[in-house]
Amino acid sequence: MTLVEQLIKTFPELLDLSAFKNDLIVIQDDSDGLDAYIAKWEYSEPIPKGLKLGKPKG
Amino acid sequence: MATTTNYSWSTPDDTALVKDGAAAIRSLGTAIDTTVFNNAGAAIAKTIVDAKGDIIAATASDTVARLAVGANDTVLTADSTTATGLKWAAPAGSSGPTFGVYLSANQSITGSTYTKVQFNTEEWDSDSCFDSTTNYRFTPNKAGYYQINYTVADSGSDIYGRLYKNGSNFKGLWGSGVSGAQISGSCMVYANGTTDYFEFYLAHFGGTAPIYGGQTATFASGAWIRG
Repeated sequence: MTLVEQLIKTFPELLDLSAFKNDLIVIQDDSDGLDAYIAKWEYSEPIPKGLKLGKPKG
Repeated sequence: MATTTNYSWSTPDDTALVKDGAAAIRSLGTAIDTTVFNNAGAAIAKTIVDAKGDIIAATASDTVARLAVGANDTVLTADSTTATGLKWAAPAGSSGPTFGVYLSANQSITGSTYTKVQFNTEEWDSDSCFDSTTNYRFTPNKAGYYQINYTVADSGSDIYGRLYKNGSNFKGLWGSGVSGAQISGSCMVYANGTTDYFEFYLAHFGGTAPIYGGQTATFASGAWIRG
């Protein structure tokens, strides 16, 4: 399950992807072999437990 | 007593009765000798220069020195730290880094995720400023304004391209509602010539799908425009 799919599972209203298109939530992959991460979170709900803002240390 | 026009040497008048020709000649000769000697001492000796292109420059009031010709294609430039206040230097602002790169093969990206485009093949990279193997970024080594161009072919829907500067979204080159298209953007950016770097990201808002690779599909270029 991708990070985006995880978020949509938690917040089904994200399914229309508008929060991603409008940069309320930015998911980023730096093509460095590490997983995608939450680069920006300005959504009205807090980041789900188990996830965090910023790039995890490789 | 008459005098010469330029140096006022004393000479007999046309109507004068020359009583002592030898003394008159000696007097004139002495005057000439003194003048020539003084002029020679005040002149710049040609031996100060040694080679083709040498120039003579002042190092202080009433003081000169040789400045050897510079290397080919350099220009004379003021520099108060040198003895003559001059130096030969490369002309400023004549050229700078430029690159042309492309994505060699399809790159699969996850939907709704801004993913760095792996520009892994260089067409040119004049100053080795583009990292096409690890970070896929342009780090110009000369300060100034750069023209950046970016074209991507993507199979996904709702394609958004972005130019990142120093790891952050800097220019949204385009936003498109099309699907399966090749779209382009360009802009001018400033780089400090040391730490600033630029990367290209892409997102499409659908499922996992590839960015199309190939020299004619997904490519970028950039060039220094001015300082």
